[in-house]
Amino acid sequence: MSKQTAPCLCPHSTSCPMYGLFQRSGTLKLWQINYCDDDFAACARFKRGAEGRSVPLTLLPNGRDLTLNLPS
Amino acid sequence: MSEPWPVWAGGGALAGVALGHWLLTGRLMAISGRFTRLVDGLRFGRSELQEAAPVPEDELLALLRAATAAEFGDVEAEAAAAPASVEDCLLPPPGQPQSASAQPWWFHLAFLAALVAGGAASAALAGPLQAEFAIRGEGFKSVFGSGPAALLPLLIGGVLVGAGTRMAGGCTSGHGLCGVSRLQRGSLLATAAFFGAGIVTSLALGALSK
Repeated sequence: MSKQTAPCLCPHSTSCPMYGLFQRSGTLKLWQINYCDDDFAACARFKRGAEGRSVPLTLLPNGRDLTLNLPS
Repeated sequence: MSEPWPVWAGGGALAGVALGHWLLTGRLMAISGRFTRLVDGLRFGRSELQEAAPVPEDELLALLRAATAAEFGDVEAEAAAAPASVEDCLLPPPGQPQSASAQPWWFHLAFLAALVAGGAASAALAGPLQAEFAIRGEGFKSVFGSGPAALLPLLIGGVLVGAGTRMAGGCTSGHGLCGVSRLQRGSLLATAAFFGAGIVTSLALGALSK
């Protein structure tokens, strides 16, 4: 999909705490480019929200939990 | 009581502010979003995400970078290409909303204070500035009066508006001004809902006041 001609932004981007983090660096923007700005329907956060389920703050767009590898 | 601006002037001013906000900051105007960030900042002292993942911010970002590498593989090569792609996404109209979380708390506070100051300045220019305990409309005044007791329904209404705003993910600025102008379906639905509720409430107040 060309991002120049058809920007398609996730409607949850203004309230998503992850989205703010994705803008912190070019590397992290890969999430934004691949999910938020492109295929947001594939985002696990979007899908849970669309289903009316609560969205864990640390849930990544790929369905994994950011804190999974945290030392206990 | 001062007279409100003509409808055309008010609409033009709102459009100008929303467009100016986007041009100056590269972000869509979202008043409730800024208010939320400010309250969250005061409440938690840090972001919601950091609250859920109780680690230092640099460690949180390191976790995210690791997850990014696991997801996208050759991160460095992709990252080198990322800024241009992001610019492509950000610059073309109608633009795109961004999270307000990257801005400092004082920025949100200044924006919200400017809202109040702008409203006060507008009212002062239109006539003598005076405090009122009611909203315009005879229906409201007939039912609730115009004294301090009218503050209670206004307070309850404000809480309900806040709750609805959180549920809908935006308010009249985010959905009504910016979302509708971008023909976002969710914003069209949200705007129809809160305008519809406003019309019904106004009609109900009118009926009760008779």
